[in-house]
Amino acid sequence: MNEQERDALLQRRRMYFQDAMSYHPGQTYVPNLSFYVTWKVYDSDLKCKLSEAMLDYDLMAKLTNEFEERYGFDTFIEYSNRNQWRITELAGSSVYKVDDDAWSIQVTDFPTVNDDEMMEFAANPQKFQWEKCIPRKYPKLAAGVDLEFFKQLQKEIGDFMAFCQRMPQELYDNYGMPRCMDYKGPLVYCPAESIFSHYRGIKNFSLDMRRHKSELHAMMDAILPPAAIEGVKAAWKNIDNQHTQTALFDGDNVYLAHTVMNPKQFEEFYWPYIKVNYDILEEHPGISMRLFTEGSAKILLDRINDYRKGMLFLHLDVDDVYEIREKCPKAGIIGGMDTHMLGYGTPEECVARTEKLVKDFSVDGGYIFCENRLVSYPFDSNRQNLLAVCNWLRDYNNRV
Amino acid sequence: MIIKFENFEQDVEALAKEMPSPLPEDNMAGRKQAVIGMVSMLVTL
Repeated sequence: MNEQERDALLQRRRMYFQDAMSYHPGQTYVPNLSFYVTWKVYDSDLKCKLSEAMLDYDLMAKLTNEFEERYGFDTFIEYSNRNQWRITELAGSSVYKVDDDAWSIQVTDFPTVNDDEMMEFAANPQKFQWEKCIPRKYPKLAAGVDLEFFKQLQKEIGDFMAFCQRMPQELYDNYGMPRCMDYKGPLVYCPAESIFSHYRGIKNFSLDMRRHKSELHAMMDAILPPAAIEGVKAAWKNIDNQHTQTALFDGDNVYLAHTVMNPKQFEEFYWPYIKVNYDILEEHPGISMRLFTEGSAKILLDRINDYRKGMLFLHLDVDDVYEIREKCPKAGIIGGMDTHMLGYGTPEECVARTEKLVKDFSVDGGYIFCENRLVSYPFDSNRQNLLAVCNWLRDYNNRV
Repeated sequence: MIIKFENFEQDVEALAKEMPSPLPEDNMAGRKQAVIGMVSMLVTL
């Protein structure tokens, strides 16, 4: 692709994004958003192992370029930087287990705060992390490390950050791919997510919502003090109302911890935090964000129905896209392409599904084509099916 | 210098003095925050 072709493609993709994000009847173009993760490694003609690609940023960059060269997605959600394995390997953690034969990455549910330590964590999270969480998660470090280790750690984190910057830039330079996300301003992150993922673990967190409510609230306030929330609100007073011209979305929230909550628990431990973002965005017409909800998004629907049309785009996992559009007509929809069909169906079946989604959702607009799951394992997709889908979508968008 | 993650304040003070940093030596608050940020990142990976 020469520079002129690249720039023309970039302009077209920005036009696709604008068309979808403005959420209007008769959507003309449908952006093709990639939710492919480690399947890129499996699909590559470089035929490397998953562990080799995860430990070698140049190799990962090469196969990511190869993936885009082959399929021509309009943008990626994940730029091959989801797992920071090199950093945890250096520190000696066994939390990540990469299995080249099973083509899988297992992450252990590893609590670093015990039942009777929640208030101690809340009193001084940084001190607790240093003296308790790190030695538990990284026993090698607790045995004692010298200055050289910290210099290596600093370099490894720097290399990872550089890779995170490098991939979107390479895809922009080589293929005219705009970014998926360009954060317009700061957003509130629900502190329940880090307690769920990093401090108490999934099982303990589930029990804490019933048995240790006050301690859980204390931890949440320590991780995200009320002053920080006020800081986010204040920052948006100086941010304009225009959608970014450089990317598909102006921000995102990823919901994981809601999967273990009932509606009452969601109301108490999740919604008050995340609602701050949506109240801010309500006052900023033109700004749109992606919400990815692992599992079902249904716990959210009644709460987001009153916000302005097109402010939120729901990236759905297990939910039926047609049912969610009916129940939550103001939210844009991302997804609908069934990964089981991509893995086990025929090219004809995959194209028929694509065509149905595009034609059905274009009527009202606010639709972005995407896989409904992170595409990770070998049988989550196959090359022939994915080529058929991407080629059909490209022809569809080029018809005008 | 050996760090065993047993004393937060002392460990951070020592590392803030010794670690390479673009911050000037008299900006100890900034240098300490950089050390804490780097190490606490390990908890969330």
